[in-house]
Amino acid sequence: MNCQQFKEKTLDFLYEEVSEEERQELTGHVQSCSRCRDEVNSLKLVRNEMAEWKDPAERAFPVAIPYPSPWSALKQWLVPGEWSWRSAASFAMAAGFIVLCAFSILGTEIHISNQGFEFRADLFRSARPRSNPNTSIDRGVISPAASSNQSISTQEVAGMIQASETRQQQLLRSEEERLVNQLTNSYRTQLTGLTRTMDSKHRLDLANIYDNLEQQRLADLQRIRLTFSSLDERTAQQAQQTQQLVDIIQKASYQPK
Amino acid sequence: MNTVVPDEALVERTVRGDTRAYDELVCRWQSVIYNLVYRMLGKEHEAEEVCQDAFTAAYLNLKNFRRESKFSSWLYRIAINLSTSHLRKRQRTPTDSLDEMTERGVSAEIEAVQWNLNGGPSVEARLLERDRARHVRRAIGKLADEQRVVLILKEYQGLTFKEISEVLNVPVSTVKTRMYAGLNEMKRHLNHAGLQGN
Ligand SMILES: [Zn+2]
Repeated sequence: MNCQQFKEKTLDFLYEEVSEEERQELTGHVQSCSRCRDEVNSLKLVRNEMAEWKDPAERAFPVAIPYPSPWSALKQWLVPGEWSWRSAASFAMAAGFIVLCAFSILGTEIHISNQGFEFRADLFRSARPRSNPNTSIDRGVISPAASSNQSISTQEVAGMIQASETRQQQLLRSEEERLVNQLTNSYRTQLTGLTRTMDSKHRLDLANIYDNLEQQRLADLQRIRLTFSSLDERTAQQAQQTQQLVDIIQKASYQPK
Repeated sequence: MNTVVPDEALVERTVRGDTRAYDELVCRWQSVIYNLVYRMLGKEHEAEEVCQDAFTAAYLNLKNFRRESKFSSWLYRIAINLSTSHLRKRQRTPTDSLDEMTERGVSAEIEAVQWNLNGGPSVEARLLERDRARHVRRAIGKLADEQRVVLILKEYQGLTFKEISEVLNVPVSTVKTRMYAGLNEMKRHLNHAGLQGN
């Protein structure tokens, strides 16, 4: 093997991407030729130096992918492919029909007056004596307090959803905080315990131990954070679904004057 | 031995709407891609951001993934492109210098404890090591984009020249030319920094 042939294979030799046979040949040349030996050694030095830049600490941070919501999956299932005006119209008609059916099952009453409109869904009307004049359909007879007890406005529903969502998120957050504090305290105890019982001989290992502890702590924290963020997300998703349902009902029950 | 589902099968399932299959892919490649992007950018929090973007971009473009290359090569390519454009954006807004690259792996708490040891040998050794790491990082930062990518893929990701050529979509000979030039540039920069012994 001559220097030119060696030069073509230097990198493969350096990174050991050669067959055993080639490796022996190349090693033979390096041993006999000082110029090529110097070249290989200087490249090895660069490699060693580059190895000083160590891998970053292992960190499992959450990666959030914008997955389609269950609603868009339903949309895709109802009308596959691109969303055109025609499919949107047919979807709207189908949705309207479903909402009307739902209204008739629930016994919904929509009452329009000059104060706006009132929406009343009553599942239990059949259980009530219909002939009773006090609960007659005539809304004029029912006092405002009684009627607000029986009818659920969509604003109220939205408000309730929001309140429940906020409450759940607060709960989640305080629980998360508590766990994180607990964890941090336990690590701190471990760290101070270690420092106190240490003699000078063990100092060499200390930095590594701390690194490992730190990595463990980060991984634990991450695990907690992941669990909570998925819980959080699920709650938000559920709230969003309900909100969308409310929106549809609201749209369907709105009639311009 | 447990059988491992190949990446490409998980891609297939993701395209059919199984989001858990994609979660599995993210789980599999997250640390590799994070590592790659970190080497490209040198900053951990920016690396996290770009890593996140890479997985999102891959998910949104999964339909365009041609099965003629490995999923990992394709993912690498996306991560590299995003890193390069991130670097370009950073150059346009030069707010912070390379010296400000911080390592968050070691927390302030630990450093405080180390200070309390009155500078034992391990602390000195670690400081020196970090100093050398910074020189390497800076030297890599000075390389031309195409040399830097090849060096990182080879030295830190451990890809073969063949695999690098697949990721970058260039012939193996081109990969080697860039590698050789990159190593010599590194030699020059590191010598200049007075690090390479005597
Ligand atoms: Zn020679």
